[in-house]
Amino acid sequence: MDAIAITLNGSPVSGRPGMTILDLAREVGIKIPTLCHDPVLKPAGVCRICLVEEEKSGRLLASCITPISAGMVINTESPAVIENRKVIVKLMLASHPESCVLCEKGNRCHLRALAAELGIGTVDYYPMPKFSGTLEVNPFILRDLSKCVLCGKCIRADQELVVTGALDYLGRGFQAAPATVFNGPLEKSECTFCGTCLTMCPTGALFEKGKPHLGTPSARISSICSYCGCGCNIFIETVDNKIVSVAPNPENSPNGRTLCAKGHFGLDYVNHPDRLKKPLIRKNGALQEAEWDEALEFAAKGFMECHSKYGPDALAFFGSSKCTNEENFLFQKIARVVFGTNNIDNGARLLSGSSFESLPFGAMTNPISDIERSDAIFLIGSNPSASHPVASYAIKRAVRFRGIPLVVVDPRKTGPASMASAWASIRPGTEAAILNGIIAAIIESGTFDKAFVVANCTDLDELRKSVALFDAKFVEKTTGCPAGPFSEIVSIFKASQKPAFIYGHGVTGQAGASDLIRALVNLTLLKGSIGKQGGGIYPLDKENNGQGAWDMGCTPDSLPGSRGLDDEEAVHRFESSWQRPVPRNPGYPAPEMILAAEAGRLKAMHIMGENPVRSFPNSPMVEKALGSLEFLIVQDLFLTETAKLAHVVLPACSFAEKEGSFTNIERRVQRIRKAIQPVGQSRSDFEILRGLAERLGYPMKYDSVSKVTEEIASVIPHYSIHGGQRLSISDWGNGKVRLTPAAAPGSPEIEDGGFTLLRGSNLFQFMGGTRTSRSARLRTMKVAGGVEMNHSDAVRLGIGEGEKVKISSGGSEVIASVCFSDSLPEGILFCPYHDLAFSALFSLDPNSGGIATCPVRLEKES
Amino acid sequence: METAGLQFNREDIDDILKAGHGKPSNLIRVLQAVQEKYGYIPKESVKFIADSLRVFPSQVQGVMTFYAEFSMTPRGRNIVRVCRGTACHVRGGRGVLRVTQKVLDLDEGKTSEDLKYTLETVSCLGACALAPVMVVNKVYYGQMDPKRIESVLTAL
Repeated sequence: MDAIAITLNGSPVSGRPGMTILDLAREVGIKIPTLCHDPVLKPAGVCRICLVEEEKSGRLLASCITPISAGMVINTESPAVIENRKVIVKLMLASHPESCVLCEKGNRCHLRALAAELGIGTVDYYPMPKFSGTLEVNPFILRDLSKCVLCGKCIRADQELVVTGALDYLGRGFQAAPATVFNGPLEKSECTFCGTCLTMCPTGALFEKGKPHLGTPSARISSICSYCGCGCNIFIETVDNKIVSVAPNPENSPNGRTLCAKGHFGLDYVNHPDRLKKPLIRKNGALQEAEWDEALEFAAKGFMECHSKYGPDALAFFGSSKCTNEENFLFQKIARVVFGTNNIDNGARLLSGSSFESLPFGAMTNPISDIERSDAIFLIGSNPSASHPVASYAIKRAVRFRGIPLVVVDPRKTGPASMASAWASIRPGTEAAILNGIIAAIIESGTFDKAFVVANCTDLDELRKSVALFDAKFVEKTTGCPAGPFSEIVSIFKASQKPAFIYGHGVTGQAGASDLIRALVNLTLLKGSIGKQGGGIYPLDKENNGQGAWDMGCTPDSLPGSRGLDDEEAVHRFESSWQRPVPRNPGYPAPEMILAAEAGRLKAMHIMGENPVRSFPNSPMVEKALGSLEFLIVQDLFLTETAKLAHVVLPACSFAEKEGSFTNIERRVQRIRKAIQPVGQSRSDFEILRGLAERLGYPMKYDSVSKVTEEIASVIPHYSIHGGQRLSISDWGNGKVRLTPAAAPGSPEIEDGGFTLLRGSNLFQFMGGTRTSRSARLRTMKVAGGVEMNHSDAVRLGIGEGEKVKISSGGSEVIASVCFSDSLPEGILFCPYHDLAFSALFSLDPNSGGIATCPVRLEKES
Repeated sequence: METAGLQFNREDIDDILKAGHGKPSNLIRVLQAVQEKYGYIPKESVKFIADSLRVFPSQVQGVMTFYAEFSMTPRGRNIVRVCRGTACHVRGGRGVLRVTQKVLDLDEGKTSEDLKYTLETVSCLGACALAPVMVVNKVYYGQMDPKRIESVLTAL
């Protein structure tokens, strides 16, 4: 392409076709002030601050939307430019209220900065402030549109980045304002309260409600969000050792300028009065405050006693998918090296264990941004709008702006299903059948990537035979997906060269999750969708550090770096590094720890940063099992349901109070930084573990967390702070990959009049809700609650909205109130994870049903 | 317009939506057709228009409220527009408006309860040579005086 030569402020410069005057000026280091412009948004040219003069014609042009053309003579600072720019800013100020003293935006206001830059001290125009009342009752965002400068950044961010479309201009001229449909309050609109509009607003027109401090924060610390596995980069903004607000850190991050409601507004749990401030020791049956030395002594002694009485395998360690890599690394080291047991697992076991069994590193093969570079998106058993919002934005952008076809397979009509090209509502538990159906159609029609399969895979014939039965008719009979949508789905796959496969808890929470993932892997391999820009498999199943906890070896059958216990070379390497023997026999995975505790085979447990009584299925049984232990150590922020059962409770710091690293679902290892001092006497899990190890006779000589980071990098070669790289087929092992036939059971038996109860994520509560239930603002958004059901089911049973029903499964019964949902088909019920009441209906035993689905009976409670 | 006062029904605008071919650039044309059918843009139609053209409902509202042409409230079967532009003003436009208001018993910008009339003012109708001008539905009436106003309006 030819360079385009123009004259800029008297100097000849050249740019590329398609560049605007502003782009070129910035490239050569000439500053043009802007207000409505932002590099991540499409240019709109609405504020006119970026005016420049074309000297030949004397015209004033908005540089952000004017492309360069050969021979232009541009002056960015001519008297006409300066004069007009001042007039525009003065007009904005004339219609702006003089409330800077009270304004939350403080020194970050772009309008104030512009006025200062242009030397505008007084506005000699007649002031005509706009009046605006706001009707907001939502707990997050307030709108004072009298301060709106109509730059449209909130509107463009909402439509282009988050693809929600809650806002657009309403009216025109002086009356114009960004508004929701029919100008209702935000909470009645499509708004998901991600807060991106707040981030983008240049003035105080949009501001955060319920902040403990207004004005400019005194410090901004770069860190990583502690909720889902997207690993959004954030700034924690603080004043006087208190967190005031959170903002996205767009620099080379998976989230750019976006966040979600939890990440943006859900950090108030950190300063919640419930935070544990001193260690607790059980004395005479009651938990009493104690000093650290005493508590650590007590914890070490209790564990040592159990160890010498019952042997190493009567002890178990439960690490955390929320704690840092460094802490999980030390935790498994204590289990293996000090106590000689492999009874160690972590919180990612329940909903991600099947991914780790079936995928290399158990991880996404591609970064989230690759979703937008695929040519078809297959979303199965996942509601990313609630569970991993930032990934859902990528999906929605791909569909809306790139026209990429989206296929949704889910019993529920979840968020993105409304934009899908095809939505297959299937019976829960029959996902593998529809996948095998698609595989059969693709092999049959020869529309798979033959070259890739020949070069990289084996056993195609065996796979072909195993799916031969799955024609459209059989798929319809098994799954309930009619032939119409099924053939649409098949034709999308036939045409696609690099489909992206995204799955979530709807898959991993099922009894046969491994088979399901195997079927997905087969489909991915057949389409050759590995190692390409775009395409790939994306498990949306992990928390902030589920990946890291696993990689660190907090697992009963593998050592750090996912090296198996039978890998002699690795075992020797760790033994020589740790100077102690490593036990070889695999330990209990987490659900079996609970079962073993119940059966009395397990005598003592150490739980770090997990609350299984709340987050595991069948809460009453978990509570009974943990309550029967001879000794239980819990490290947590709060006196959780689990901590209440403990013999020692060690108060831990939140992520905002410590250093370390998290690994996100893309396998990016990202640093978290200490933003505030520890609350009360709480200590980071790193310090707690170091203190314990010393009292256990295995002193750890790390003077800081970074020393552990270094040790991790030295024993796990690919583990250093880095961005997650795209995986290639060679990461799937040496040699060719076998196309393993996947079993596809029919739908589980549902008795007459029975229902299937599904459990899933909620946008405003995170998983069990230990932290989000202590966020004042998120709590306010608690949705109606209770069990969701289809309207016609309710009519048939004579149940009205809000009425009580009795739901039973096995021996358990739960009373819940009903709310109607359009997104559910008949025969399906839905409850959120954080509603503890439903936990009793689900089973921890993987053989007796999924942890996120279960067959139930429902009757009206009289 | 065909049927002012008609209840909104999704099926009734099927053909209009189909003619939009799912292209956002056809939004104004679709809005015009819907307004032609109902006399205004019914609130309930916004979501269907948006979905069919792959734009957000808020964007439909943005366009609708930008152009004075579109109304979100029901309008009368007869739209009476009186010109308040300069040329008409000089020739007695204000009087034309006053008489019209009296005959229709309606304020400027309002619709009669029986949905028979809507009275609007405009800034110029481009027929200054005929001033003072009024337009009833799509017919122009020039050089108005009280008598002509009354006969035009009572003939409706």
